[in-house]
Amino acid sequence: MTPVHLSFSSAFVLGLMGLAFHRTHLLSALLCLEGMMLSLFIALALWTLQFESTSFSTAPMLLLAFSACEASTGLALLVATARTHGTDRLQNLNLLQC
Amino acid sequence: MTYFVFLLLIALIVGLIAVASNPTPYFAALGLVVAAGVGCGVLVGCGGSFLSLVLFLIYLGGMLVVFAYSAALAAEPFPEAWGSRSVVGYVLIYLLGVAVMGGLLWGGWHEGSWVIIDGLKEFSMLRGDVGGVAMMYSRGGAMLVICAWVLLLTLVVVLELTRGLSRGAVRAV
Repeated sequence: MTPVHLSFSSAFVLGLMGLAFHRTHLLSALLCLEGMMLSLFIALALWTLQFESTSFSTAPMLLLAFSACEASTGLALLVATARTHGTDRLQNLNLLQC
Repeated sequence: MTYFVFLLLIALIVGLIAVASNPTPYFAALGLVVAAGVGCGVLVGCGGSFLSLVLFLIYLGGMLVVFAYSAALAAEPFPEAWGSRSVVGYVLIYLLGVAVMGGLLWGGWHEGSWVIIDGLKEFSMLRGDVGGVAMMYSRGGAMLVICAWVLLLTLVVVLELTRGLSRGAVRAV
């Protein structure tokens, strides 16, 4: 594997593991999701640059636009959580717990 | 130059380890800022100066600034940085995991060489990525309209989620 491929692949997997495993705050999970989006942007941009397929450089721009949508929705949910539960700690989101 | 880009790739992985190891969100946002900065450096090293600038302005300057001040919602009386006991275990495990995967999947000495885009060809008026992004306005015009529509829709979604006073999508707010 080339170093570039290895680095953005491991960046994606690190963000995914950070999102999946034990979190304290909801904002930490959203930041890991943003880290995954960053690694995907770098991956698409490096695809464009290293394979010299220049018309593919619209793909990272469109990814960034959709990632902005997703980040803003996640932050709106964070604000709604902080308003109802007073904090964004995940142990407080236990309304459906038996 | 190759070694410099290599150093930036290592800094990218270390930055994302800093985010994924569950510190207080202040420090995780700092790690993400550093990772985005060195990611821009990697793109510049491969010749994509326009895409790097877009990443800096929109991602770092737009989205991460919003995350940084939203970290005020996650305030803690005793913040945990990367030296505290619960975080340092995750950091070491992730570093070990990356080192093991790197050792297993490493190619040969030849696989680390890369050149700048359009560096081995004829002279051109525009850099490759600048000319490519202009395609978004000509052939990709439909996708541009769809993206603009989706961004407007997201604005409406966010306003609806945070409307408050029990009249929005989240009735308890």
